[in-house]
Amino acid sequence: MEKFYLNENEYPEGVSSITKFDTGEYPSVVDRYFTRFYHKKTSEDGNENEDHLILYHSNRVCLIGLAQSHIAFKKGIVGITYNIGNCDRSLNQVKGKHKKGGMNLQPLTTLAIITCKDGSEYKVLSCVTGKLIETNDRLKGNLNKLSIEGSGYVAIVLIKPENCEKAKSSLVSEKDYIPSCSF
Amino acid sequence: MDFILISDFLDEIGCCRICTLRFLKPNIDDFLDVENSLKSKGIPINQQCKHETKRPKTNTCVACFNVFNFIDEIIMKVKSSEWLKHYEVKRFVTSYSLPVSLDLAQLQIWLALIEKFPNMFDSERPPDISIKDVMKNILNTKLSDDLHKEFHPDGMMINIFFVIDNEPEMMTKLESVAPELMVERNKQRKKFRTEIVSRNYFEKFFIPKNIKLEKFRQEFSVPPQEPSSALQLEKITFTGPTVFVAGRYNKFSRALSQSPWILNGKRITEGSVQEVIVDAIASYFKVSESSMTFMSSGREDVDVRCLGRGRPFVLEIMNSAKTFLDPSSAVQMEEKVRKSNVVAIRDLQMIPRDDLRHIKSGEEDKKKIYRALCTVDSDVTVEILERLNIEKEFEIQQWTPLRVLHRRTLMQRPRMIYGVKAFAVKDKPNLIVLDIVSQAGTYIKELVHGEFGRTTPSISSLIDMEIDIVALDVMDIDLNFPKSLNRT
Ligand SMILES: [Zn+2]
Repeated sequence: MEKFYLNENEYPEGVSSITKFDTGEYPSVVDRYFTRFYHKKTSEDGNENEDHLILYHSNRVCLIGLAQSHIAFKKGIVGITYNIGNCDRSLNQVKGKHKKGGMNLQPLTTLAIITCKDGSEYKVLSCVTGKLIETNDRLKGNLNKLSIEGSGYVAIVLIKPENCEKAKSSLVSEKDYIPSCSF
Repeated sequence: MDFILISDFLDEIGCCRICTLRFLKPNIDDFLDVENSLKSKGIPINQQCKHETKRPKTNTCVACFNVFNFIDEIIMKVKSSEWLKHYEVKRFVTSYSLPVSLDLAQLQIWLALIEKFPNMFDSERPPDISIKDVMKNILNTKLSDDLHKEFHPDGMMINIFFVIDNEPEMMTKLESVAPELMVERNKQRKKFRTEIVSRNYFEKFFIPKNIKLEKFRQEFSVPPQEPSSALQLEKITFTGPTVFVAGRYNKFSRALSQSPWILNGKRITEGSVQEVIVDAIASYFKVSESSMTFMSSGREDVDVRCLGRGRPFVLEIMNSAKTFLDPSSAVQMEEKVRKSNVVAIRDLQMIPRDDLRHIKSGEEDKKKIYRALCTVDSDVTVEILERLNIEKEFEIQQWTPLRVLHRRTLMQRPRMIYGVKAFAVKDKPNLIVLDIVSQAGTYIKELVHGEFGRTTPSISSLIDMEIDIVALDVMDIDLNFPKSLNRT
């Protein structure tokens, strides 16, 4: 291992080595850039947790995905499709700085449908009003990624500046969040 | 072309000798000796000569409003101006602001010449050498002798302003003689709240080809009458040349932005690299800080230090009082910046405007060398370090990072990574230091953690584990500009 040690004498006088940087309380990538919000949802009979996780960036970019408590993770996910009612979300394309051409989304717009081992299907909803920027084609061959916070995003949605406050107030903050059906 | 006939006609309608020569297809240098040039065109000096070259003020030239009578006054005023001491420059140029009335007079004479000599004057191509060009030729020659300065486009500018009474009143008549020519102008005026017509606009559109003579004559005489209002020399101002100073800067702080960081009128961080540098340089060139524009070869996030040789930058200095930077002053500036403790500069030097291209173009061809401090969840192993010592270059695909996605186009960009070296840190088992040589434009933070799979491959995907970047330094920017001076 010694041969890999960084030579820290190369720094000029008065300039501290990068290793002196205090890494003590350094937050994770998600914690650095995003605020967690939740959309609470249960199945029609009220027995199953279908909660969504929304990672909200201060620049209005949102990553939409499933909360850890979503029932699908317990059942085991075997498929995901962005093809909803003959409209394939994964073909969504945006152009230019203003993201022209992105699909307009309402909170209840379905982004994708996931299928579980037992054949049951769950909709992934947009949860916010905004524009569809990107879907996550890396999930297809790697469904266990869905449970990883961040990498498991189903879609990236951009909220208009004037809709941000409304969007946040319609969601549950991390502090107030109690998973659905956790009785 | 029958110069005598034309000359007689111009003389009759009240043109001075200089203006007469202007309409006789002269060379620009002919104006240095007007009488001799007229003579060589067959115009005798005593040819019913009512008018002197310099007319008395009571007898005003219909073409130039006696503008050439001001030449001595201009030279006298320039020579005695305090500003000559302010601008320590060896070169000068002159610029002229002349009332549109002179353009109108030219049009009136032009129309008269076409009417009188239909085969000799064109309705699109100007019939004369312009007043401005003649003024320039005469004044630049005289000023160059009197000021002991060279006439040169890179010099300080001497701006000479003439005004005339009653001009706006006269201009409103244009609307009635050629309403179709004013349509576009009126649109511009609404937008920019500008004068009725600018000289540029007049010169472009108010030419005989576009004018109906009968209608024009209802408001203006052709040929023109003796002007009723006098031309006045309003003021003479000076503008220094624009010069460029280049250097390289180091940034030692992770809390200092490159340029002032102001959001909705509020300062986010105190000070900036730009302000520290500008503050050390402005007084030498006798300019305010607002007349300096800071440019650099790329930029990084606030929390990234810039070490090594530093980042190339250029300052554009407008209205500069100097066109040179002596080495001892440059060293003083470098020392002053160093006292900030957060910024240092080196290789400070004047550069020609052409050299700006080094900073502005070819961003993607440049290589940048970074050092990143990274953390992993478990202890670093030799295996990980070996995997991350990569000598062979490789390409990555990088989607526009989420943190800039709101203002940049979403796209996947290929970027070259030319090499990676990995180091362990003694007594800190969860840290890795990475030296990365990358193509400019690579987002290094995303290259390290992979940004949820949006940058591939990433350092994280190469070792198949979570790795995060906590600190970043630029160690070098592979651009040999400006030249190294080895002064210290
Ligand atoms: Zn004249």
